[in-house]
Parts: sequence; structure tokens; C-alpha cells
Amino acid sequence: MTDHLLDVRALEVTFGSGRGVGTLGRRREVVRAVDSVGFTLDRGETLALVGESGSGKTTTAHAVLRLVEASAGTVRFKGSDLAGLSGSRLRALRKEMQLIYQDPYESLDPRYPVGRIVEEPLLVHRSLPSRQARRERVRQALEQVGLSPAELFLPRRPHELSGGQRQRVAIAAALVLEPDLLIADEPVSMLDVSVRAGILDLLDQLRRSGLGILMITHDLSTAAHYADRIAVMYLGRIVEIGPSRRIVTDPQHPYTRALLSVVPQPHRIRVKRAILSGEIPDAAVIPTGCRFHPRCPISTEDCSSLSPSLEPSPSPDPAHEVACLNLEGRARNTQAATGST
Amino acid sequence: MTEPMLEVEDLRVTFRTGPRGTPLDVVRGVSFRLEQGQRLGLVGESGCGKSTTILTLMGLLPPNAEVSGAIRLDGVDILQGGERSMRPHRWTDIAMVFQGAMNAFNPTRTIGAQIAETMRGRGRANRKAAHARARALLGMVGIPPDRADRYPHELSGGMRQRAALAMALANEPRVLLADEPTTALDVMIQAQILELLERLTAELGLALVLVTHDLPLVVETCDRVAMMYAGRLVEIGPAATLFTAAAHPYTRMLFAATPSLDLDRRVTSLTGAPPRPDQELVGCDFAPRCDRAETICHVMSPRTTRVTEQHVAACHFADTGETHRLVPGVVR
Repeated sequence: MTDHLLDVRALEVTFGSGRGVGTLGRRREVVRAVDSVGFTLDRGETLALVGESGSGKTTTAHAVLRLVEASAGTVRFKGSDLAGLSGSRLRALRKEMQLIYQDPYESLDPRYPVGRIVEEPLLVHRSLPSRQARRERVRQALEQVGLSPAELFLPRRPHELSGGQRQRVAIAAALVLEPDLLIADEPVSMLDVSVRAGILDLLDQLRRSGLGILMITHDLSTAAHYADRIAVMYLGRIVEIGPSRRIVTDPQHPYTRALLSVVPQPHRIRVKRAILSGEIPDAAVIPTGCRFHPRCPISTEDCSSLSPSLEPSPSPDPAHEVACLNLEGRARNTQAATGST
Repeated sequence: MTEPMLEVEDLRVTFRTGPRGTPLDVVRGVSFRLEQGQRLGLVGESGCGKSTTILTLMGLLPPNAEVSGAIRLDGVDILQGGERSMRPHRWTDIAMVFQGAMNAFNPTRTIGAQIAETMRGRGRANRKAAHARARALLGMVGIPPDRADRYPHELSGGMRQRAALAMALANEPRVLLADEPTTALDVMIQAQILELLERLTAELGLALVLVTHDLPLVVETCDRVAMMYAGRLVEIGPAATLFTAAAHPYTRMLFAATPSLDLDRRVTSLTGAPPRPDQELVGCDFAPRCDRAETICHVMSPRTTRVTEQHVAACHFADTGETHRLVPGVVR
């Protein structure tokens, strides 16, 4: 099937698996940052990868862009397997997938005026030879991200702009190449609350115009409002994926439930938060079986030995999948119990 | 009326920026009270003066800051006497937790030694007792006491923030000021820290001032919320009231700009930015961004209106129709 804009299957990224021994004669640990991750993304769709630090969401995005090399799995973008590509063909496809970074205070070169920053990708990719055409494209991109009139912003330098305006410049620099896929890594987490909605609305507008957007965020509220689907990641794996409304209103995985319960919610003051103790374990010492079982409130004996894979959830929506033994387990245990009586 | 534990009255902070620079009015008349065990959220966008306000309470402003007003602890003004009157209260009565817990510690010394040092510096405890208490404090904030011998880089971000909290509590302060204590942390760790703060205020009778830009978080954690805009408090009231019946458009619009899990609520961005401290201001500071500003808002600065006994707001329309309830003076 090649009709998806992006089709990721069984993606695996390991770090530290190089030859030889590590420092001080210790054996190098292999860190499996991403393991068996699969998802699809269509044009005009936003998929949010949600998880805590260390869940592998950024590494997944980087592997999609081949900024890190996957050790296994396939990434198909517009039908081509990126793993098999190199040189000019890879560059040509990369042009069509653009990354927006988290921190617009770091990602923009302070020495250049906005016009040059936005023009830079065109120069790097040598996509528009005529200076006049480049100028025109830059102007269009600035207007597109709401920096209007463009003439006013072209000569400004990043320090003269607010955080929200800087992030708009970063988005404009991604748009000049007319990409099909935008990967937004925590696009608003460095910005003031008041301007976040403006940037997210802009991304949503771009989605409606036909781009596919892969959004990386730790904020479930943002994901719920601005993504069509949410994939919840824990320690390198997707534990639950489905339409945003389903994930938020009918979460199945105990980790998703715990995450939702700690999102501050003014309208349901002081509900019992299902706070998980401890932190995401080190990816070098991944728990056996289900990776979540040591922190899971409903884990059973099987969870420490069997690794669950994504399967259709008990909810009526076929697009909603969850990787938990206990959804199935509950049924099985009941059966076993009735059998013994 | 009994004296409040902490009372801040008409606090003003101006930064001098060189001989020819414009003086910057960063805090422009902030007043509030805080009782034992109370949790007050101080909320606003970046650059509204939240951090400056609490740094003033700690007496930690740079030398080019000019401060006026009163900071009364049990009825005694500690601001008047300058550094000499502030110093005895710093860390012992009023303590603070900073945003970047990584920078709160010296990387070359163990966590335990640094916590112990804050006690010894005040001549309170001998070396052994201070170390024992450091361990006990770590235990109280949920860190295994044997971690006292670890160096800061050996702890995770969440652990370090807990350790910073333990250090702030070392001299049994009565007021804890927390400047965005969870901003750099993951949601689950954030929830752990908030739960800890709630527990500590309840168990130790500690008063908390939580500075954050996260409105939903503050409404969930605090008893009262103070909204700060352009150096002023524009609304103070019970946390739940501010969410359900905000009297100031800034509060309402900031809530509207924050996504929540309630998908049926629309998120609308608040356009524009707060005025810079060097800007000339006429009328209501918020008027240029306000969705219900009228002519009066652009020419006249609003007075503080008492909406209910516990709830005040500085808006011309905070209490439409009942002008006799206008109370001149400061927000409390």
C-alpha cells in the first residue's frame, strides 16, 4: 500500500551499538530508543506523537527524516522507501519533508535578516535560480505564516521579533520549499501561552491546505485540540494510537490513562490524579515483557514476560489500537475463572 | 482583623538602566496578603513582573533596582531597612525554589553537603546534625536519603527539583516562593512535584506563592490566583471563581488561549503582546488587546473593583451596574 503520504513500519533505532568496547573497558550498552514503531500519515492530516522525555518521539521523527539511521524497518514517503535512497534522490525527497524545531530563539541565525533566513533553504537546495523568483517565494511564505506585510519583516533580525514571530519565520523557512510533510518538534513549548494558539492555528491551516503534519508534543491537551490522531509513546514504543477524541475520552492503555489524569484540568478540580511513581526507565535497561509493567497499576504476571503489540481496542472505532495484555487478559482470566468452577 | 502572616503593599520596582536610559517600571503597585498554609498562584505572560515580584520578596534584586512599598512579615515591615532587615528573613522565613533546578546546585559538591551547608551557614546546627537533617529532608521530599552522597548530575531533573525543594525547606521557612518549579519537567514528574507541594503546605503549614504561566495548573493547585499584567495585579480571587467567573477579560482570554482536554471548548489565541516596561501607557494597560474594550478603556486607567468579598478586579466593566461598590486603592 503506497497511498499514504508517510508509511512507517517496524521502525527500530538503536544507539551505542557500534563496534568495540566503551570507555574503561566496560561493554557498550545498546540503547534501543525506538522499537517496532509503525504508523501512517495522510495528506491533510495531523498525527501527534505524545510522550514524556525518553519516550522516543523525537528519535522517531529524526529516523523518518533519516537524520539518524534506523537499524530496522521501513519509512515510505510518497511511495519511496527512504532507506534505499542516497545522494540526489534522498535530497530531492528531503526537500519535501521539513522540520520545525522547538526553540525559535536557537534555530534562527541571529546575524541574518528574516529575508535571508527564509531564503536560505532555497539557496541550499538550489531550487530557484532566479533571484527575483526567490524573493517572490520568500514574500509569499511570509504572508502565508501571517507576517504581513512581508516587506515590514524582510529586513528585521531575529532579536527584533517576539517568540511567536520567530516561530512563524521558522515555519516560513520550512514552507519556501513547498514541502508535503511538516515535522513539528514541540512547536510551541518555548512560547508564551498567549501566542501558542496562534502558531497551532497556523499549522492547522497548513494542514487543511493539504500538508501532512507530524507533531511531536508532550502536551496531551495540545495534541487533543490540534491533531486528528494521537500516538502515545512509552519507552520507544507506541502503546496506543487512535483518533484524538477517542484517546482523550476513552483511553484504553493504563499509561494513557495515567497521563490524562495528570493533565491540569481547571474544570474538574481535584480529581484523584493517577500519579505514577518513579520515572521512565533508562532505555539501556528496558524492562522485559511489557515495558510499562513495573509502573503499571493493573499489571499481571504475564506482563513481565509477554510483550504486547498494537491490536484493535475494545472501543468501537477500528482506528483505535492499543498494546496491552490486560484488555485481552481480563477476558481470558474471566474465562479461566468460570472454567475452574 | 488579625494580622496576615505576609502582607505586600503597593510594591513598586523600577530598574535604572544607565544615566541616559529610561527607568523601567517593572512592578507597579502590587498588593496581596498570604496566610499560613495558603497557596497563591501568580500568573501572567512573560515580562509581566511575576519573577521580579518574588525576587523582591527575597531581597535578591540587582543593585540597579529601586524598590518602594512594604513587605510586612507578622506586621513588621522588612523592606524598609534594606538588606540589613531583609537578610535575617531570607531562607529562614522566606525561601525560594528556582526554575532551573540544575543551576541551583554546585556541580562539584554532593547534594547532602550543600543542603547541610545552608543550615550551618546560619550557625544553627553542628556538622553532624546538619548532615542528618539533610537526609531527613531528602526523605521528606521523596528522595531516598542515601542519595545525599550523590552529585547533582547523578540525579534526574525531577529528583533535582525535589532536592532544591529540600534545600529551600532546610531552615523551616514559613513562606515558599516557587518560580515555575515544574516548567522544565515532564507532566508525570510535574504532577509528582505539585502533589509534593500540596502535601508540604498542608503538613507544614507553609504558605506558597506559585509563579507560573500555566493557568489550568494554578487553578488545580492553588487556593487563590493573582493575575499579573504589565506589572500590576489585575485580578485576585478564589481559584475556582477565576476559572468559572473571571471578572477581568485578561483572565478570561488567557484561559481561552489555553488548550484543555475539553474538546468542545474552542481555543482562541490572544493576539499582541504585553506592553514593554519602557512604553508610555494611557488608559487600561490591557485595552489594546482586550476584546471588550470601549472608549473609556483607552483613556482612563480602571480602579480596582470588589466583585465579591474575596474577589477583586481592575477593569471598568468588572462589576457593571454597581458602581457604589468601587473601592479606591489597592488590590488585596
